[in-house]
Amino acid sequence: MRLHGGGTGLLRNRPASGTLVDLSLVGFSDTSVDSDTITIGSTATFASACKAVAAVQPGHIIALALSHAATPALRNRITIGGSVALFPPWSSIVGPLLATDGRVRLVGHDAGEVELSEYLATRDFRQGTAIESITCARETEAFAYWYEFRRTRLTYPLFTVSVLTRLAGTEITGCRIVLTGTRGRYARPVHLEEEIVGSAADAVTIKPSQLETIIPDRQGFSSEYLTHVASVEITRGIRKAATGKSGSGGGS
Amino acid sequence: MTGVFTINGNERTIEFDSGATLLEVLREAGHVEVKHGCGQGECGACVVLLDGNPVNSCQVFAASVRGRSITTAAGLGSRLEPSPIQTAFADAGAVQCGFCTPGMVLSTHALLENTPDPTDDEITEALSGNLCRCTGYAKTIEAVREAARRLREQPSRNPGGKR
Repeated sequence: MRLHGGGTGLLRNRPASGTLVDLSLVGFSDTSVDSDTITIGSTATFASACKAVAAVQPGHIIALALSHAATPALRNRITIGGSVALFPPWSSIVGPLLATDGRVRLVGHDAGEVELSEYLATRDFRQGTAIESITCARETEAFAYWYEFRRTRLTYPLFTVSVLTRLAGTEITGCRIVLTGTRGRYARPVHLEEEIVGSAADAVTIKPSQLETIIPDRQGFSSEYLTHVASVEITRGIRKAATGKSGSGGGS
Repeated sequence: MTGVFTINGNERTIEFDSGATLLEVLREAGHVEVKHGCGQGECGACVVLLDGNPVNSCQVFAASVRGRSITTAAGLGSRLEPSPIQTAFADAGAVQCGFCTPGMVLSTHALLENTPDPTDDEITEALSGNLCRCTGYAKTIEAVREAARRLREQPSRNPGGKR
């Protein structure tokens, strides 16, 4: 048995097997938000998850990211589980989930709960195992910033930036930065996160060399350019926190 | 396999291949107003409303939406009795070859159901999945503004039903 995801990916790579079992009605589609945690069922669509999260915490990075993802019609079909399982380079959800301590609850052969990073690194989880739900932290104290770089409005993002910043006044007390679309699919520059603690958020300037990763050449854009843009957007995200607001940006 | 679908308010029983997409099933059933464009969910020509929400029908297995309500552009209005959205598109000159228009009109309908007085940014976002290779988008946005104005000025609205 092989489990395929999800709301749209299934049709892009039509499986050759003779029998398909539709899991969309098994009850994995709810999104719940409690005081500390957000739980999103694997068959929840981007649109339904976004609506549920935004109703409780409009500035949460999940709501910011999903409200910009793909197109309105596709958001009504793309599922959270499919996007995590397939993790395409343009995924809008994986970065925000990694930034909020995402965990994946699995059913089937490898039933249990694992960190999202472990799930992404373990291809065996795709055989005989399905995602039931994904949890992440509310991060109610953090200011969120989410950015996607698209060549045009109509093309897939080449990379995404997720930034969560905690402040005391304007001083940074904690920061979480995740880039997707990098060499190695995603990167979390932990040294940079530690380095900027104690700095004034409105005076931070991140240099490309501090990202500890690069974004490869893509669609006519050089690696140097894309990595530079990423550093600018991380700077912008941290500085935006100093204004007391969460936010998002996008486009090329 | 067999499935029952409510298409534009009419219940229909249709036989189809289990791996068929909703786009394929609708066109086979005569709903050629649902256009087959890219087949990859990128152009929006095949957009229909599934229980009122826009979806790319090329990205939906028909088997997974049996029993659901589907609205195509023909469900909004007809040639002799077009909906205010359809007339606004024609009046604004937002139709050239017309291939993208059914999807555009349905995306507009979905937007205006929830946002009767949208900003230009909201219009652009709502139509971001509908590509036009003829007219550009200025007249399309103008058409949506005009459709919104006409619908707001209608004496009575019938939410969820035919406009």
